[in-house]
Amino acid sequence: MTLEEFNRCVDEYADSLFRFALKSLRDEDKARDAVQECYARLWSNHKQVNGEKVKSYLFTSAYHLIIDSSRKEKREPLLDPAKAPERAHCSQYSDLKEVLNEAIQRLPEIQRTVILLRDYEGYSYQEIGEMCSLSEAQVKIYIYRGRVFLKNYIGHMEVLI
Amino acid sequence: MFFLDYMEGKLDEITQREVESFLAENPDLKEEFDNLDSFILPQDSFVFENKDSLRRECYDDVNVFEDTCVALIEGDLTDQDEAKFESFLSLHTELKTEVSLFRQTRLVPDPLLSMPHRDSLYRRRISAITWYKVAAAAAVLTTIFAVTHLYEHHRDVSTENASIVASLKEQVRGEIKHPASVNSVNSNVRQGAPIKASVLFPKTSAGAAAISYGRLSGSTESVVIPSGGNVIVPKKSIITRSIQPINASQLTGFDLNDKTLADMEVDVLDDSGRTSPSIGKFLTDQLTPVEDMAMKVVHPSKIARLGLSVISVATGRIIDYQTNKEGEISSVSFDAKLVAFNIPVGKEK
Repeated sequence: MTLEEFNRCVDEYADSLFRFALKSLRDEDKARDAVQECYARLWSNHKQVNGEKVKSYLFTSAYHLIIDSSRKEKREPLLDPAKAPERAHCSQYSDLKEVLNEAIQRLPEIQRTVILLRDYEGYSYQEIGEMCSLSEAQVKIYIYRGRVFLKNYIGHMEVLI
Repeated sequence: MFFLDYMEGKLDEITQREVESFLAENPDLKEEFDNLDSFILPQDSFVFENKDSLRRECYDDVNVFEDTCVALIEGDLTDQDEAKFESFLSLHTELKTEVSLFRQTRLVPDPLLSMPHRDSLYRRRISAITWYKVAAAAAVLTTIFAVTHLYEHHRDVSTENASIVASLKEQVRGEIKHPASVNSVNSNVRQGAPIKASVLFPKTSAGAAAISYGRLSGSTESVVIPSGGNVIVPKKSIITRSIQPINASQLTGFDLNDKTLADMEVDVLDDSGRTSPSIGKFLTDQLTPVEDMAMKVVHPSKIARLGLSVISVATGRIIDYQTNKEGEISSVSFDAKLVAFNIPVGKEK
């Protein structure tokens, strides 16, 4: 991977990587640091990284950083959608996007990651599995569970609104 | 009993033939049998029209339905499966809301959300060549500075010399019939501090040639003549010490801000008891001819050598110089890791 290719990767993937990190970490500074770290790792290994696998390398790095950060903070997502309205007042949601963002934050880390990779970046089950060290079937299951959770959360909030 | 089974066709072929044979032999029973046949009800044409609603499909299982919904929005369904599912939904419109909710779970990235300070991620090519260029430029600048400094230094000395010489000439004029020529002044001394000057006195009518190496400061107001002995000149005092003829050719240590030779009103007595009206006159009288007028003054080349040494120490680089027989710098060489050169200095003879 050449210097020019590296800088092109910055242009192409920095924003999407930042969005992915921000959605996962919920902290702009941490997300920015994660992106910096990802590109620093890429640069330190740029001679070994295949140009076609750069995006996957970046998101895999980001995923591991997110996991490490989550483990440090020991955050536990809220799994029961029925409890959500008790903690979040309905009036603070002006549209579906906000409700969905709230729901995303309540997903378990792995489910949120696979859904973000799927929706934001359009990765296949296999690619997501390679990034997250999961089998294709596991990815499908996590996506399925995540979607069902999101659907139930949205449906629940819509009823309340 | 046989008749009912015969009518319903439940008898086997042999028994059925026996029944038919029996009826043929007994016409009264045949008549009764025919009457019995009229009691068979005709088949109705009623049908249950909403039969499909009673059927169950795989999507009726909640898990299968949700799985299919997810597969639908993920694009995992084949065209056939999708058509089948759409068909199912058309029959169960109440489930379309569920499918709509599933569709809403698809996340859409915010295009306005971008990585702040993305420029910091770029890598720029900073090769060793650039570093060498910078180092070389620094070396050249240092050299230019050194050469310029030497040149300016030399020029300052000359300028200052001219100024001081003019002043000294003015000061000693009148006191010494044949005014001295001042050759050089050390420019290291600044205004307000004692100035070391070299004053040459040419031959005078009295046969004097020069005054010895000496020093006169504003505080002690003394003249030191090491080569010929010390002459203490307190202000308004009389020197009683014998003064030997002086063979040197310099006089240094004037403090221009204080007293000068001409200003010194000192009565000096020599061995013969003669009184000199002023130190200038006294010194003039003491002048003796010298054959060698070569001066041991602070030559600019000494200053240049000192400057080169200072630069060499300050920069940590090897700056060397070659001198000729007169002690003047003939060439300057600079040696570093990146660059080395030798610059000839002065005019070739």
